[in-house]
Amino acid sequence: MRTFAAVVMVLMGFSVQAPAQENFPSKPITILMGYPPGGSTDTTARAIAPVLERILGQPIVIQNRPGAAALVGTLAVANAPPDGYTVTVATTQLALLPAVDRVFGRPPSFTRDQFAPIALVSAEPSVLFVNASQPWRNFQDMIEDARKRPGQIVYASGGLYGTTHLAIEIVLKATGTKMRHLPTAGGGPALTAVLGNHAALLAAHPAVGGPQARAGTLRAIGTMGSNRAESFPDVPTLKELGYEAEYYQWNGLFTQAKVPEPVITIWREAIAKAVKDPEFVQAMQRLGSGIHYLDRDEFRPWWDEDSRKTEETVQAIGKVQ
Amino acid sequence: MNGPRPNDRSRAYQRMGVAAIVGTGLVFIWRSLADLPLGTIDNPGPAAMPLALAVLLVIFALWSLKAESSTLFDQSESPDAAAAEPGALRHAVLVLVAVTVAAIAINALGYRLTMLALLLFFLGAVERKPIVTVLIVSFALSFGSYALFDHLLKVTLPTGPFGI
Amino acid sequence: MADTLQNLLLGFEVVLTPSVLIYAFLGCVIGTIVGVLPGLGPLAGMSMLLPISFGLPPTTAIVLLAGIYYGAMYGGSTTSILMRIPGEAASVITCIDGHEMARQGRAGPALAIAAIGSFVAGTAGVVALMLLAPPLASLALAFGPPEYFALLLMGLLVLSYISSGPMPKSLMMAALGLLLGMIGIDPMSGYNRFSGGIPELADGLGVIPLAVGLFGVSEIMLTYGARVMRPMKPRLSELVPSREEARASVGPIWRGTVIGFLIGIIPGSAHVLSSFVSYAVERRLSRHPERFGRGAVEGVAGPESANNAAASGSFVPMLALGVPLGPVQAILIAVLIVLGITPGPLLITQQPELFWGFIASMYVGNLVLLILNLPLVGLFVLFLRIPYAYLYPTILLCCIVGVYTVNSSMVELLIMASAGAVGYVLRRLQYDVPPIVLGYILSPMLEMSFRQSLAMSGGDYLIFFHRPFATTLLAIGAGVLLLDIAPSLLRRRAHQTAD
Repeated sequence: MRTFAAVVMVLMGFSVQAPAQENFPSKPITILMGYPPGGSTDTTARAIAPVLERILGQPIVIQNRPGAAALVGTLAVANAPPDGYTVTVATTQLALLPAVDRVFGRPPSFTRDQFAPIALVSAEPSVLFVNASQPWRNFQDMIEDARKRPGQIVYASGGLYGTTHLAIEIVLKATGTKMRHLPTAGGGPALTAVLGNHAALLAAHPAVGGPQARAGTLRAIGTMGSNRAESFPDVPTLKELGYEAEYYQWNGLFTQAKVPEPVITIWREAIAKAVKDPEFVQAMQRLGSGIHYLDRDEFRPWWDEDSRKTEETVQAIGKVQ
Repeated sequence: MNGPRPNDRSRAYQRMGVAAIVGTGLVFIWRSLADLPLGTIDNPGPAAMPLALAVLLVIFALWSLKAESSTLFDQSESPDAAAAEPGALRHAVLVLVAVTVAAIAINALGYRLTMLALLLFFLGAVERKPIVTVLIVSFALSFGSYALFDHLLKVTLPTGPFGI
Repeated sequence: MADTLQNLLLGFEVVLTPSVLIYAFLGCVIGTIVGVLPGLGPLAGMSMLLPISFGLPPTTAIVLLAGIYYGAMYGGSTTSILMRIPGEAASVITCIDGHEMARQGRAGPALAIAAIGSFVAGTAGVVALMLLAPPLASLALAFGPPEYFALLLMGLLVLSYISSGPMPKSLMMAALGLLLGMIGIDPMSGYNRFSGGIPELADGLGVIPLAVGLFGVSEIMLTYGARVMRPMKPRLSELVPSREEARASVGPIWRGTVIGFLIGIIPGSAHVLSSFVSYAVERRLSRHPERFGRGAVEGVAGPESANNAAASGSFVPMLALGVPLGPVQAILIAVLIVLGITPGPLLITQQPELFWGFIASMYVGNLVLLILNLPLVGLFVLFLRIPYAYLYPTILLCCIVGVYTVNSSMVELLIMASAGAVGYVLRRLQYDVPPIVLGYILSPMLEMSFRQSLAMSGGDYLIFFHRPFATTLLAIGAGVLLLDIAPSLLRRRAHQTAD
């Protein structure tokens, strides 16, 4: 009797430990976001979630855990059990936050290698917008003006060390100019600052400044991609103008690094199907973000390069006080 | 005549309160100067405003001590008068401790068990209400509010051991 | 004018269809629930309905989500009045006089006047929105950091009006609140200030844990024995405002509407200040300012109207410019984008059905909320008849769940508990607590706009005087300050010469 009970218990123990990856996914999935609802990262997640639900056959819940510039949510993702049931749509913050920690001499709250990239879903080049009342007709004009009066032109950003700040710093380094930085409390306030001409220049996602450019309140003078932006085909890239200044506003799907490879493969296949789904394509078009898809193997070097630029630029900025 | 004694005690308490506030101000001054750059006049740093505010806090606190002699407290409506009732302090401490314990326990024990414990404690142990009523109300409120948030409002609340 | 009416009719055509009306009602109901519960704000309600809204036509989606937002503005006063727990930051000031009215058996009138004031303000706000959105939007854009700073300096003046008691004690509380606002990451330099290594403090203490603790938890700690409210039998006169109360509310409602709307248009989080400013103005204008803090109905009518008008006003930049000035507008804009509408300066002209449908839905929504809330007054007043022994543990549960649902954070619960303890001690020592909350909200914005102004000017302090708008605001502020100090200065002079 006792032997029988022992055998049953051992067998039960085995069955409990059988890897769930055999029939992944077998329970609901969570997309845990470090960003609040309404931003471009969040809307990308909400656009892809229903499509993935269909493909994976399990309900997908989106949880927003904003706080400390995406630190709280990102840490939550890093510390979640690595079973593939918690993923995140993330962007530059994975490289940015540890780099800022390093500037302040703190041990990094997390590192990039705690995360495994699954796929890149969208990447739009940062577009340089100026207030329409500014006299510069194009990017060259503005740079010449900046050279004549260094440190006088004011540019706005959505926050210190944010992507809109780093983008301009990359431009300044590539052109050898100096401008004054006006940090604001986010993308909306930064846009308002330029619309009200309290700052002259802003680097933003094309969808953010697009409606304003079409209405004539802002003017796009340059884009920071390797090719021209789809929504601004008449605006030259900085590369064309001879400057090494590329920076993207992108979103990709990530999970924990320790997730077993078979599970990650299932995710990769799901995303590969999702990016072709017409519902998703239309949603992303409406968001003003084309789909720029890179599977994990191409995404990883792309992500490494973007992270390198991010880390270098943050180091170069250093402490501002 | 009650006269001097309550007033002396009140004055002592007032002074302790001011001392605590001065202490808080000093802590902020210390941490501002120790950790944060002061910046320059045309580019004030993260220490500038906290330092100024903490200094003002200390100044105002010391001013209130000096002005104390000319301010008479209105005893009639103050919480002081009612709180001087026996048991009032005990009630306050119980509430504080209960809320603190609930805060710490909520993630470990889950929402429903923690709230159940909180309600049982106050209704049963502190207020000594009839046991059947206590049980019904406590279970209804803790499990009911969980259902409201979880099912209707789709807000996730923590669950404890055995998924409760 | 004829144009506007025609457009408005178009809007009503869009809205007065059963499907849209149902969603407007749903949004208002959910908004009221979400507003009544302390801590949980309109953001949570909107996030919850986001998936549903993606499947709706654009106007219906916006009507649903916006209904949640201003529904929450109606509901927020309920817990403030009944339990002295702020439903959200904008309702903090209602706790003061609103709850005192409840203690005096006037909870019904307080709730009713809050609802009526909210209706008047919300409707008037929509009218202003309808007629003036584009020019107001340009006005809003003119507000840059220097103007914002000047405005917030005036907000500091407001601090002195919302407190009673001896001057040094009020100043101490204001300074304490301002100082507590400095905790967290400094956006201008990136330094993490005074957080003692606790990561959850990076965004500050949080206005909800602070306010719920300072007001709600401390109230329960203080209420014992003689101070407990007697359960009352409701008579009609205790549900309906008296004639004096109604008459006294008219002015504050209108003034609150104007103040709230103007503050609402301004970019930034200033709209939370609308209720504080209204309270201060009413107190300043009142012939019996000592009544404030003891159940003055003006202290409920004004602020509640102000925060509803501010909610209407905050839609101006969103609709006229397509710029989100806060998380709520960001969600609305995101939904519009996902549904194929691109918000921007051309929205009003290119998508008139959306704009006018939205406007019409706000009229309808405000009416729905009034009809919903007035009968609920009777229900809510019944709540107060529950014996206190059962009531206060329930309120504690509401406080805990309310604060927890904001960020699922144990640290915030502990902050609430600590704020409760501090509030208890301060109130026992007869300090005034509201200035702490206002100071807490003001100081980060004040500091940031100041340093932003210097960043814009490269360190030149004259920027505040080179810009006409900012200079005017500063002058007004200085003028008001002088008007206040002058009488006491003159009195001191008279005493000195008399000696």
